[in-house]
Amino acid sequence: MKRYRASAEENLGPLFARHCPSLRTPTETAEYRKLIELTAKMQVVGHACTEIAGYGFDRRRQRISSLFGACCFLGDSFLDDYGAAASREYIERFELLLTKGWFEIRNDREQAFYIVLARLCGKRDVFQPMLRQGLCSLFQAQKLDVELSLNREKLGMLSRPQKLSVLSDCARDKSGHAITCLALFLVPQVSLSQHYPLYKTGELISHIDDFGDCYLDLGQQKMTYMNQVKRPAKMLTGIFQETMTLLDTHLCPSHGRELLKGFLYRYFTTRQRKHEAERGRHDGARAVYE
Amino acid sequence: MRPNEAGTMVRGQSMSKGLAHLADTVALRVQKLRSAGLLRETATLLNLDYTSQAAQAPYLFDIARGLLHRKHCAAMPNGSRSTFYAVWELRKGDEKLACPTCALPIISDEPCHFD
Repeated sequence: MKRYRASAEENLGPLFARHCPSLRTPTETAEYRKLIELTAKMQVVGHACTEIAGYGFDRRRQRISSLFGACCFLGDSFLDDYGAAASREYIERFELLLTKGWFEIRNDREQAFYIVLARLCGKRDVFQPMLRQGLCSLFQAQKLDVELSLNREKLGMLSRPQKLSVLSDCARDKSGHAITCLALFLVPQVSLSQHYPLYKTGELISHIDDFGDCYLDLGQQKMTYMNQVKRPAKMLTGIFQETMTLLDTHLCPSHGRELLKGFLYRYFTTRQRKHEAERGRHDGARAVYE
Repeated sequence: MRPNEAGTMVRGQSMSKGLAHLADTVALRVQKLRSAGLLRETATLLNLDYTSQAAQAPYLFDIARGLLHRKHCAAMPNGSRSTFYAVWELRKGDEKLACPTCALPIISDEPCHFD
């Protein structure tokens, strides 16, 4: 992970120093570390996707995956960290950005987000139909996630199986479409037979994330599939094993495939430890994990 | 030396960094023009919505189940289509993903693509 972290820092450090100095202050050290950690994770996954598609993970692709990591970090923080009214407003503003291209910049974080997005769009033809659909689908998944967080009574009206189905699909689609977009920003073409296992990988990553954040999300009254399902550890282990088998059966043997499997194993085990560590914490703050 | 506010290239900066800063500046200025009311509110800079185009595509790929359908396939699940991607042309290997109900044609051309 060290070299991915160093690459993330190299690619994002100057950009954030220039466009988002508020994130480089001593009080925001932990937040900046989270950005670098998420980006390093995106670099590993991006590296694997690139090689699975038959390309080399050169410096240009390292930059693309860093930009994508920063874009996800900032986008998620806008939706999660500033309260319900801000979440709703950001969803409206993201919709305007996607359908009209306009984004009124109000602070340096938003400026960094816009610059990251503009640079990302400069690296690949965003009108490529699969990528374009992936971006719109990712937005729709995020929109649903926000709606579910803010309108808990809607979920409460559903039967338990319906509720679990909605939460499971929402988790699947958020990271599934995200990894689809990441792959299509990195390489010009991914075959449909490769898209499928990559999407399932995204689904697994989402469930691993939610399992690690189980107690934190419950503390914030956010329902996820992993904090609503009975015996989440057993459920996650089942999804993990299914996905690893799927990667073996649906992807040709390659360094990229093994890198992805290695990453998933490490992510799975570190988030299991995080789950246990978070069980005893009550301060409500998000700690930085590798 | 650093680039000035307009993103002008200066000695000591690589060409690519200079161009990146210039592109950043242009991107920010365009948004500022709109914020200042100097562009028509109805104007569109970039529209990524693909809904109307997707409706015309002959095939739909269910990315979460790894199944490729014809547009009007009766075997497609009802309800949410959040995992469906419109597909315009079939490529070699796609037949392995074909929905058994659809009987998709096999096409073996390899289209060129730009990196």
